[in-house]
Amino acid sequence: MGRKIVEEGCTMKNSRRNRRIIGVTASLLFLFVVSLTGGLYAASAVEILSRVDQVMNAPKDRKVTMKMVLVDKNGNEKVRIAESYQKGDDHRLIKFLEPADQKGVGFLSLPNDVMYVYFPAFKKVRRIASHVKNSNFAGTDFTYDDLSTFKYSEDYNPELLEETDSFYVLKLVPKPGVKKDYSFLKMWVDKGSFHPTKVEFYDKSGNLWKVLKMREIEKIKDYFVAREMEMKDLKKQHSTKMIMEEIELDTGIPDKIFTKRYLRRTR
Amino acid sequence: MKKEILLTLLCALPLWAGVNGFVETYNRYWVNADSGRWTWNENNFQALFEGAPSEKLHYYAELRFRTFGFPGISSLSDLQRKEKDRVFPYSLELKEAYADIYGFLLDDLDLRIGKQIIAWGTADKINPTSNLSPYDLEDFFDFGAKLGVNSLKATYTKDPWSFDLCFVPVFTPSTMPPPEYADVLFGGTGLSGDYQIRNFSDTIMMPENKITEASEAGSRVSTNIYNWDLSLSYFHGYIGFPLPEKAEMIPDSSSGTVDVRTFLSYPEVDVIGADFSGSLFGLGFWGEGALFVPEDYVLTREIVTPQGPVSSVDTILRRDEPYLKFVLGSDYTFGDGTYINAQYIHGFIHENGRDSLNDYLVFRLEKKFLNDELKIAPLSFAACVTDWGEPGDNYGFVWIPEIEYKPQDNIELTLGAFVIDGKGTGMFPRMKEHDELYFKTKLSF
Repeated sequence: MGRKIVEEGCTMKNSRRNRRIIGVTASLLFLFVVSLTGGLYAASAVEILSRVDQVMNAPKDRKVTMKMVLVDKNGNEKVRIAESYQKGDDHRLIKFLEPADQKGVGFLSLPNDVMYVYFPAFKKVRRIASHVKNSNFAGTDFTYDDLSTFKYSEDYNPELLEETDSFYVLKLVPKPGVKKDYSFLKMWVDKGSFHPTKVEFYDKSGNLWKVLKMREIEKIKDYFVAREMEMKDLKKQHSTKMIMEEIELDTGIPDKIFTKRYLRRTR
Repeated sequence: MKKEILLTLLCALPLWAGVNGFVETYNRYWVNADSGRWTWNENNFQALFEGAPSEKLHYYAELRFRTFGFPGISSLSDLQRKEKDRVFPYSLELKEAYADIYGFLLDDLDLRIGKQIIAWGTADKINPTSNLSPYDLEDFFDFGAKLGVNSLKATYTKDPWSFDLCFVPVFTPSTMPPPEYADVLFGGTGLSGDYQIRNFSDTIMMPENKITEASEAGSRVSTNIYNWDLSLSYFHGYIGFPLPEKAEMIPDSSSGTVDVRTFLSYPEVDVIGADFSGSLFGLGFWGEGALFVPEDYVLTREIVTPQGPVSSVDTILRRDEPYLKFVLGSDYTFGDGTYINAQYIHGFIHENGRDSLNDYLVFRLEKKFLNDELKIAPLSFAACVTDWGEPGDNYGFVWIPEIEYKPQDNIELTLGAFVIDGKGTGMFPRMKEHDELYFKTKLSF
């Protein structure tokens, strides 16, 4: 009897242990599935952003003549015309052709945040430090950082917020140690081309600050290129429309274009 | 007649060259003169001609036609001159005119030949390593402005390295401020001693136009190491400001006065320079130092009577002791767009010689509003202490608050002031009676 009780006690104990094992196993399995699913989503967001970077920087080089139309809250317009040369994802040269008081002003962006400006009146190329990265460039709504070339995936951690029939919606949070004026970005990525069509920039308080829209996305050669970009600053009620008037891709722009020597040249 | 031909050319130039430029007016009002006084009246028409006949050729010319100063009328005949130059004093100046030949002989060799401004150094406006182009001190408040100099510049680039070789066939001196500011930079003559000067005359002796006398040369090598721009340079030539070499004092015993005749010349100098610029913790940093290696410069003072010199004393004005001028600077842009720029300067542009170097702090804070249409610089100043032993009695500063408004592209309106104070014998105390308001308009085309 005593043995039976003991046996029954053992059976009950075993049963409880088995239930506990099953419970723990189920919990672990659940956690594993959840973590696996979460991991898949994260990997997917990373992959999407990586594809975005690939698409945005796909041409080996590009030369663009662009017209920038600045519109203030009263609808007054100012126009700037500039030439931009880009090679890979970390070399860019921009030269202003108009208006007259900015003609010849140039901006050179090189890897590792090395940036230079050239003002013809001073006859000197001036090194600019990374503190200007978040300042507006030449009165436009684009910052120096926006105009320097960079890969989103190097500066931001992505999270997939939503997937519709046409778009992936990503949330991009600056990586630790990366200084941005934005707390996060929301990016709408076209599923067909992996080209962003809209980016929202949120300030440090989490309020919507700027909206970038990319329109007229065309396939030129084998690359998707937005012929028009519009950056709207909601705080200033000011916008800059950047219209790519002439686009030349993969023409073999030599490295020497991206030097201080060429920054000084008028054309 | 020459001016008319040049003006005709000026009008014809746009037919074959790309032309830009600006129209500018600049007026200043001396506030603390007796009842106030206009001190500056300048109207500029500046045309920039630029073109590229081929991919490897480029030219640039900058012409300034201006009326400058005030009507200089003293008689009816001044009003009757058909040139009207006494009513509207005008001048025509070719500021720069040069040709570029890119890829000359070698792919990476560029030549620039002609009248050009050669600007070296990384500091803002004050560049002790930049000595090939002379200073244009006509407007003292625009310190750091340079004049074009006839020269040849060869630049060989092999990224990230760059080598400059410059040759100036004939030394060109710096221009000086107008008479009312003349003593600001260099003080008085310091020659009279116990005498009262009755007449003063000066003669500047320029180097002879020989390659061994008047020519200047410089070289510079620059590179980028660990994202810092660095350069080393060397210059041999002249300091752009003349020093008295000989002073003849002719006493007049009846009146107890002297007539002084001075003979000035330009001291030769070798300058070894270095500069850097880069970014650290998001701040911009730059520095520039120049070691000036002068020769002894002796002033001979003679007392001259009708019978000839009766006594002669030699004084070493400047010893052959090397001296270092340098600038250290930093800038930063805050999140709200406020920009600050600070420079510490040891040795201002006109200060040469180990004992004449002073320390300056130049600071500017500015912020843009209305989508960059309005720029306000409330805190912009230069300050100096000439004797750290008694700083309370030897200091000076100029405060330059400024508002710049660009209601639309290509038009710029500027309103500002120079508020100056100080004690002692430095540059700013000498200017302290020159508080001025200024107004500028500039329309670019």
